[in-house]
Amino acid sequence: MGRKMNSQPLGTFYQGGKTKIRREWRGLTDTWYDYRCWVKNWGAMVKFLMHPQSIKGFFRYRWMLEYAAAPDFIDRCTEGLRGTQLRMAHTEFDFIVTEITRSLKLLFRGDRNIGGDPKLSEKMIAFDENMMEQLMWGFPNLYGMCVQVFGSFALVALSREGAVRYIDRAEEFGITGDVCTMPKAELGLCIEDDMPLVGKCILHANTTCDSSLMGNGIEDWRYQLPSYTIACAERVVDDLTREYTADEIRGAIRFIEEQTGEKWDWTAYFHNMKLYNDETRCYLEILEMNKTEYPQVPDNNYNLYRDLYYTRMLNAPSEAYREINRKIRDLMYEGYEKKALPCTEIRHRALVWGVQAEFYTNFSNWLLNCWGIVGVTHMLNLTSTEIYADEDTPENREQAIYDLADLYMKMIMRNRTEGGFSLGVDDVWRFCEEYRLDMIIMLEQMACKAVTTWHGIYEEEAAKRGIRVIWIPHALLDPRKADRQSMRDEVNRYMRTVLGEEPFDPSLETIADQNAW
Amino acid sequence: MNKLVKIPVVAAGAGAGLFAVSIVVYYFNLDMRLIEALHPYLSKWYDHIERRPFNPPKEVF
Ligand code: SF4
Repeated sequence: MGRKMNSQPLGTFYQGGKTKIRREWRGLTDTWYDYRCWVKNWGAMVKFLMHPQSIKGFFRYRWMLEYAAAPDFIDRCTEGLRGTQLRMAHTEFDFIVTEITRSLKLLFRGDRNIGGDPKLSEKMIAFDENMMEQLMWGFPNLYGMCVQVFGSFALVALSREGAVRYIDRAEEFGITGDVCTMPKAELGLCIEDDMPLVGKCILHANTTCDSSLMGNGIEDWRYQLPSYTIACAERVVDDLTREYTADEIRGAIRFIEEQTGEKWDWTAYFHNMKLYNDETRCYLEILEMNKTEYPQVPDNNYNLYRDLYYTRMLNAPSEAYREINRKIRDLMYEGYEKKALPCTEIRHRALVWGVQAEFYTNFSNWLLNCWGIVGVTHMLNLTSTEIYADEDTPENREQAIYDLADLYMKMIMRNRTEGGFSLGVDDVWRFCEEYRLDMIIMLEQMACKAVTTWHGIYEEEAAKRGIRVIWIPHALLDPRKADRQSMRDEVNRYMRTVLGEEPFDPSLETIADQNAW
Repeated sequence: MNKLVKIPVVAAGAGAGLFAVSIVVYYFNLDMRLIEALHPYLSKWYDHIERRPFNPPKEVF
């Protein structure tokens, strides 16, 4: 019992509280493996709390409390998984735990709010919003600290209610209710004074999309630091816009040099880019694998990790990312040789399109465990797969600026939601064909304006092609507008009434997780 | 019992005990249940942190 997927009614583990009544029994080998990972993750968290600055940070910032639920988050993200799928998930999620604790420790060591080291703080460039951080490769003596990743982006992956307070603060301040909750929560953090104060200067950007420009100027009131905004073009397939964005990148490099006295280091930049290209090659193999009838790296396992390593938001060394990517690739081939499936039976191969409310909701795992719908690939993963210049030559030094511009323009979310019709709509049908997909899970973020305007076009085109579309309205970081169960109900209704299918695990159709993290 | 024998025996016993306890904590999710129980109290703590008001700098207006 327990060794096979769907051998336990997973929905019964939730009984209305914040957490489950017990952990899953996955058979001896997989439970033992999961237990060891649990010990390791607690080890990383306890080690983090051994540092006095970390303790101060823990008791200063409200959002730190949600990080204590990291083991619960990992349980959710590994729910129902077995064998190589379980190992792959832990490889990624455990790495995220280790790197988040490492980055937080560094952040608190320099945090002026809690008496951090001012010299260390001077070596930091505060980043607003989650943005591409490859720019810091050229400044190996400095740290790019994306403060909002901890107080907002990573936080809401862990916890349903993590951002609610900050969203409310921004609305009380006067931001309207229909603005995307991503920049709104980040602004709320500033207003609430719940942001670590680090940095010699601050870099803003219009990533993940232009909506974040709304808060940048207001956030400067709190930071009181010299700031620069990288405003990259939204349209990513146009040479003229690339030229413009390259100028923005040059300006940002110049700004950092002026503020810190550091000089851009080409050797360090190309070294990192070489490793990054290796990771991209691994990723291309993953994409090819997912086209087969045994897709091994579905989105439930890969999406969050891909976001983090693609953008470099976690400050981890490139060598560490390459190592993890290679491990994933090895596990992927091992699983393929065994003809392992990510769920009991693949009933539907889906493209998950739209932006995420699926981490805290554990939505992709739920699709697998309940209905056998495999998210073969995800919009947020379908970012740049270019191999960029990585040899230090005079021509490549010029090219590198355009490469950075390309990466910034192809930041997650914006490259599809704001990048124009061909990337946001036409590519959907191309991916469906390439990956042999029969279903699209449309995660419709109510406040993501560009994508919502394409609603009718998606429906019409999908109908022409005989592709099934399940619409899942959600409000990104705000669970009050569409909660987990309402998202699940959309799928339940479609599967039962339109397709006449029965779930693999009926206990998962309605779950008492309304209060869960 | 000889001290040389006693120390490893006690260490092994303590290790086994710790292991057994950790297995129980893991399986019954007691770690997360404890955090859940502490959550409301810790939340209250954060309400008492002094925070700077958010005012636009004078030169804005
Ligand atoms: S969800 Fe849409 S509106 Fe919000 S940041 Fe992402 S792309 Fe922009």
